[in-house]
Amino acid sequence: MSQAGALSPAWTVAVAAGLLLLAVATAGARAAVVARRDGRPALAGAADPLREAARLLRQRPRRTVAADLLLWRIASSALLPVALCMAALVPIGARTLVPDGLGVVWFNALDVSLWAFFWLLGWGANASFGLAGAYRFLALGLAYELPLMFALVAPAVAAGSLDPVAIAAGQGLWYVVWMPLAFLGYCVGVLGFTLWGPLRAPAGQDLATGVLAELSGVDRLLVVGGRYALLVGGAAFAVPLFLGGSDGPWLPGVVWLVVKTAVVAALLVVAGERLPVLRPDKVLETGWVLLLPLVVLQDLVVAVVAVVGRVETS
Amino acid sequence: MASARLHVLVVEPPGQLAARIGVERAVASRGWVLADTPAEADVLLALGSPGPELRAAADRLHEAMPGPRGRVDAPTVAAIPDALEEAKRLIADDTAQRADAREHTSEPVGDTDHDDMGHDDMDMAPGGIPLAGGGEDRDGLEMDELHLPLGPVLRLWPPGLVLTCTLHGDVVVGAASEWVGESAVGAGAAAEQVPSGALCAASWLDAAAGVLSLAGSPARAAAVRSVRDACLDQDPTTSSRMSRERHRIERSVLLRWSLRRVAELDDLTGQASPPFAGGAFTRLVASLDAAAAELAGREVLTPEPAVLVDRLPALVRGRELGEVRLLVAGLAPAFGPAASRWSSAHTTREAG
Repeated sequence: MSQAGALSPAWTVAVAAGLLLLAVATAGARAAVVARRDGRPALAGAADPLREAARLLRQRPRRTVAADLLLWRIASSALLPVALCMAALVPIGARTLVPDGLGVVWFNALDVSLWAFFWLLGWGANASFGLAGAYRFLALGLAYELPLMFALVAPAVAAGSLDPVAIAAGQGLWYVVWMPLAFLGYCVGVLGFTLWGPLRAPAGQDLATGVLAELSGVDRLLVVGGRYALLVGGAAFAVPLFLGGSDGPWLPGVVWLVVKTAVVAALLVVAGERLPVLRPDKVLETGWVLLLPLVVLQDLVVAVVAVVGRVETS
Repeated sequence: MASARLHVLVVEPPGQLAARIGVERAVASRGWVLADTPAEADVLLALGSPGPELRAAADRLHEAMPGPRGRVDAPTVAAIPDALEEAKRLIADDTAQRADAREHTSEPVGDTDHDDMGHDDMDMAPGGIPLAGGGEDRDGLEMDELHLPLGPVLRLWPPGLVLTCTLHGDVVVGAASEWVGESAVGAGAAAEQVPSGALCAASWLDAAAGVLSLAGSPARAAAVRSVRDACLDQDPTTSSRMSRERHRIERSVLLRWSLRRVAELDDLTGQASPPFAGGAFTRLVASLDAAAAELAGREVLTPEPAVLVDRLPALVRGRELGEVRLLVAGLAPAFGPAASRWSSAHTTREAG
């Protein structure tokens, strides 16, 4: 497989800045929606993430009794770097920051690493609510991870490559149109590894915010901001996989990338607002009995189409 | 900007439902947030006049809050706006906060009892807390046992109720319940300006909103809360809005599926208690019906609160922690203004 052209390392800064700006914008949009619902003007609500960040920066750090401080701080600081790495895998135009041709595998490795970080986040504080939240996360992880992995396989099989650049380039008709179940599995996976919407049980209200319960100050800001950044990172990676990459008429590729990322992020935020939090045992049951077979079936369809297509062209 | 959006932790003694609803509305109108844990709280707001146990709990919570922090009291509903302004002033006062930070070290102190432990045993008790003991769980595996007290200060929890749970993982295998309100269970409803029917309807709506929040449906919970506020304001459109919300909740397929067979209760305490029978979703819809009935002037019978407190440990055994929260939040109206009907019934029986 030919290797894609590499972006210069200076683009890392641009990618990081873009990710953080989009994360703040997503947080602001969601805060505006919540403010409208509570009867406050939307614009006043949109600045809530900034007020919250200012408050958290002023708050002092906090320790619980006999906390596993090293692992706890590692977990809380790790979400933002993982999101940055996910964003770094997204190709801009036909070039990427990581030109080794295995972007899909790296993305999968990153989302699996989040298992460790969310578990440690609940474990580190040595508190019952956090521990219960961590157990819930493991249950949800078992439910969403396999569908996510099989969903990542579908575009790779269709394009015959694990490189997001090749996958984006090979899309005539966008993959989201003829592999909708894979897109669904991918979106459920993103909701799962950001503890978002229907899969928010590990940080749920009934556990007094679960894994977030004992966080304060900068650690809380890193975790809450990290979740938004992971959402945007996951949405951004869906663009080369399912939405044709940076393709688009008139405007430069970067702009289309940002627009498509924003659309997917908005879709995920709306799903989070409209759908209730699902209990982990129900999600586990549905994930294995319904979602996984559907995504595997989708993979079968994609594989048949790919083989037939290759037979026709050869 | 840092004090533009404060998180308020509310200490609510029993019988202060109208005051707590007033706090929620005041906090929401300022764009502030109610805190779930002391870790995210800036301000501790104590309503009414809490008894000694509740005051001790408030002290512990204030200790657990990281700086900058403030503590204010609001003895009456009218004192709430001033208390919130005072809180904002306290948080913004940099010199006082720095002095507080110097005194308040960041090293937490666990509940230690060193007398009956030799120094050799300290290795087995990091931070002074003994390691978790083991207990057999329902599958015969040895699980670590954790002890978790729920209440008396917990959001979406009946005020004054303390349930000390023994957990295997996140399953409650044993519990001990007690009531730390300064008066007997159910008494203590302060004289309010609203008639009792509207207040009882508001308590049913508040419980329904609590269950919706715990079940993870914040949009529906916010809608029910606004109906609750309209009910307390004696807004004439309340009953039509209530029936609209009830229809929307009944139509919600995902909510019904998510709460299916969760927190199921058989007939409680042998007395007729239709609002509380069934699963969490049935109880939710029944709360809305009970609120409509109260508003129309019909009294809804709830089980006697003292009996319910005694039966609670048996009801929660074997359930998961989130399910326990949903169960108790659904039972909250029995401990609210409706409970004062039991104490007045007692006094009339004694007098007559």
